Amino acid sequence: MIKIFAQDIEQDGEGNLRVAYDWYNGLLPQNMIAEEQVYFDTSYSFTSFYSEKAEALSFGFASGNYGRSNIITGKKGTIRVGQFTILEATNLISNKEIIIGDHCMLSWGSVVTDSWITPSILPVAARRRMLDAAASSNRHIEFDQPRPVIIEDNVWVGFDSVIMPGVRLGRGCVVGCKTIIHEDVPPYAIIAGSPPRIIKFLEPTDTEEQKRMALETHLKEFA
Amino acid sequence: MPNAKSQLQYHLLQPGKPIEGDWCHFPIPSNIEVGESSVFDTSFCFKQYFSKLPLGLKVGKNVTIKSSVLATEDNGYIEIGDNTIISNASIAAYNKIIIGSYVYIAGGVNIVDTDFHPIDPASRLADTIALSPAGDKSSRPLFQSKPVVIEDDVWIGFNATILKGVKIGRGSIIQPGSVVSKDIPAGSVVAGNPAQITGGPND
Repeated sequence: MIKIFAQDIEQDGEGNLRVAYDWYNGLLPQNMIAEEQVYFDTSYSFTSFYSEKAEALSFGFASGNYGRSNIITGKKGTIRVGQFTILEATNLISNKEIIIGDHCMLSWGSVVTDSWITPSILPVAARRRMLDAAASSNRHIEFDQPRPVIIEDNVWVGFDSVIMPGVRLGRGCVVGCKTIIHEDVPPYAIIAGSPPRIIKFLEPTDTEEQKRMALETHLKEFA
Repeated sequence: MPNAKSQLQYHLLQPGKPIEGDWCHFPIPSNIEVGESSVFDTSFCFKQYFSKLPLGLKVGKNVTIKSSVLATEDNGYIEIGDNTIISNASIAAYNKIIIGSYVYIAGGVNIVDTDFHPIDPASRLADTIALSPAGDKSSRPLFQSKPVVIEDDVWIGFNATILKGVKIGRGSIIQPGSVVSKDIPAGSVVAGNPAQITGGPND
């Protein structure tokens, strides 16, 4: 079966995947599963995609990567992006696992990372070893103790915000701009500021019935 | 010897008149009004200028617009007073953004009069479908927009963010990195996210 993406994707005899008319002369990862209507934008987003996992990356139906996102993985990194999810010049860094649900919006400059400093790499010597290892291989820093990040459905992350390792963002929540999230955010919370605080809770209006109606109303084929 | 003339960075901003030798080629809108000696450096400024109003942008005199973006939607309107400098900033108007005279807007600043998407979870979910490659963009749900007013003599520091509905009073200073979500009285100095008053210019 030939999938229909939102852009033309060309495959050569060696199985290399290229975005047609890409401004950057690079490849899309082969260990990727993409559903139909996905928009990849440019292979430049995948220049630091080093995962050796079989299904390291997945894009759900009509999800998209827009602008200059950086989708970065270490050898064991995996990233799942749900249906209709929008990555707008976003930075995803995975050495283990990042799961982003359906209908999420990640704004420009936002960062989702499962890797950062843990107690084991507080000593300068440990950090030097990591940089030495990176310099002698692919220049990617492999972190020892990554903690998965889970972003549930219908989450909105504002521009320049950072989602730190181990965090779970609850369904329907909104993270304001320039907000650094170290702890789980409950469903439907609006959280913003530095340090972040919950401003209020939204009504959970995004029911299955509402979703069904939205799909009938806003998809091109029904328009 | 390099020709001094070719090094000119700034060009007079005139309705509908392109810059010769510009590195990009977005049309300079005609529905703008510009005072004397106001300059800009590239048509990239109007990449996302879509205002369909009879007057979508009004610029006073001696204004400098450097590597900035003036974005407007169909009904968006931006007004900039005299002697104001906007440097490497993004100004996005769905409705109305009014900037006074002798205002300085530094690099990385975002001034927006909208949240760009609905807050309500069901409408937000619908918006992701409408905006997707499979969606009908003309069917996007409505979302909030409230005018922004920046009065005369305000200085806005690097990477500060001014959110919808905010009025910044005359003479105030917004420190770098601030996120301003509420009105700021005249003569204040503010900092932080959310921005808090830390003093007055005379403190």
